[in-house]
Amino acid sequence: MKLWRLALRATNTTDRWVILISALAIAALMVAMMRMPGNRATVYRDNQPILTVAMDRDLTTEVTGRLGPVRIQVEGGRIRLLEYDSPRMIGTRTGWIRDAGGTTACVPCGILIRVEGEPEGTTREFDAVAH
Amino acid sequence: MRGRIGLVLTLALLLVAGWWWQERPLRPSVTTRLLMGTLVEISTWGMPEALSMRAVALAFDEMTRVEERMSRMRPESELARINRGQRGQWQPISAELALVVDRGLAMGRLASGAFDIGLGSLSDLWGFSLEPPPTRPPPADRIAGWLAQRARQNDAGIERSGESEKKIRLDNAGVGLDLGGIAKGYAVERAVEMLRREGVQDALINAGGDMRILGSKGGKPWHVGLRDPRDPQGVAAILDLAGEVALSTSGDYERFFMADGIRHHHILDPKTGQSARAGLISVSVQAPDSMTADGLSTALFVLGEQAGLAMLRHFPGCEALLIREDGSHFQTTGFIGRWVKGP
Repeated sequence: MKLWRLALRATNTTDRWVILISALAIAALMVAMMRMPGNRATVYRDNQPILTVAMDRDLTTEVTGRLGPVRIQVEGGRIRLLEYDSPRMIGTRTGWIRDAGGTTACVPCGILIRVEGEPEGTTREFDAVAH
Repeated sequence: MRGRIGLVLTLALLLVAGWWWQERPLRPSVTTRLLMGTLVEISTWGMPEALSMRAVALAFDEMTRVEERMSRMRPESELARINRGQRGQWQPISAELALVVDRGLAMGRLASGAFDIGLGSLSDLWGFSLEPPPTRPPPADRIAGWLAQRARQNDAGIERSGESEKKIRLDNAGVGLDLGGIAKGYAVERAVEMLRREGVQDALINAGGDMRILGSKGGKPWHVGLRDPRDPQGVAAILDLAGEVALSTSGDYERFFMADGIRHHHILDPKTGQSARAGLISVSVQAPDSMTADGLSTALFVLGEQAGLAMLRHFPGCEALLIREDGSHFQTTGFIGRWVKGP
């Protein structure tokens, strides 16, 4: 505390502004660096965002797709689509997604879920998979 | 004192910023949308984010526009309007739709009828595009009825008038336009055109079975996996693609159902009215443009290995990788990709 007061006494107003602005800039940078990717997901219907879901607590929620209700489950920091049995429901095959940038979808329902944030690491294993 | 504090803090700021920048690897900017009955992903490389987002949005808008015009499943589309029209009467057709129809008809002639853009009524019978999807094949007598109806007109169900008139006539009640084997390729090419117009030089479009490469990824090729037809989590081949390459894959494993131990899939053989069974479970074609790749992968799947490869010789610059029912594969010498699944 004494040291801090000493430092303040040794500085003038301009110094204090320099310290304050620099400290704020460093703090903002640290926040940006520490921001954890993949901690929330956005749900889209017909490519329009309709819901944002925090992925840090477990929940089951429901959205209305083109063909009726679609259930969405969040558990242990992962998210998945539930209860729509169709070969065109990419969510069924994808299962849980967790990583930032991950997507899962029910094509006939028009529902798409994307985990927000930039993917970690240099790249995904593949830029795309042809099927 | 003031100068020293400022210097120290500035250095600290620069150090933190430098470390952060180094920790952030370069990566493609990826945007995903639901379009044309599938997930469409556009990746761009090396563009400022705002410019990339604008270009990608325009590309998606263009694909949506094409879908709205050429989808058989949208009652308000131009194609659906033509399908509803009276048989035997000329109907107006836009230059854009006529272009795709003409390419489809030409592809059909080269494939000796194995590729057919007039299978709308047969597709309706099978219902692969419906929800819920089918679990049983249509009754045999209905398929036989469709085949008989087609045969009465020697399969010449679609006619186009002269180039300047832009009209189309469907003669046969058994014929309905279904551009599923070629229109997605066209939409992807239109998206590429929009990206180019906005200054994008390096991009990858992945629209389900249709993929289009533009340029590279910072000088390195785009790294693409080819899905193993019998293992949803596995890849059968790895393709490192750069420049101007379209890749289209047709297989029996995305839209299918099993009934009485038989796999019924969405690629229909116009000659039998059934799912195509020519000994192949996946066909991937590399071509200079997506429309050609799209049409060829379907045609080769229906034709089978021998006849398919014979047809491929009519298309310079096109290469193929075929996966047979027993899991073995064949790839033409110019096909870019290495098999990783094992023998």
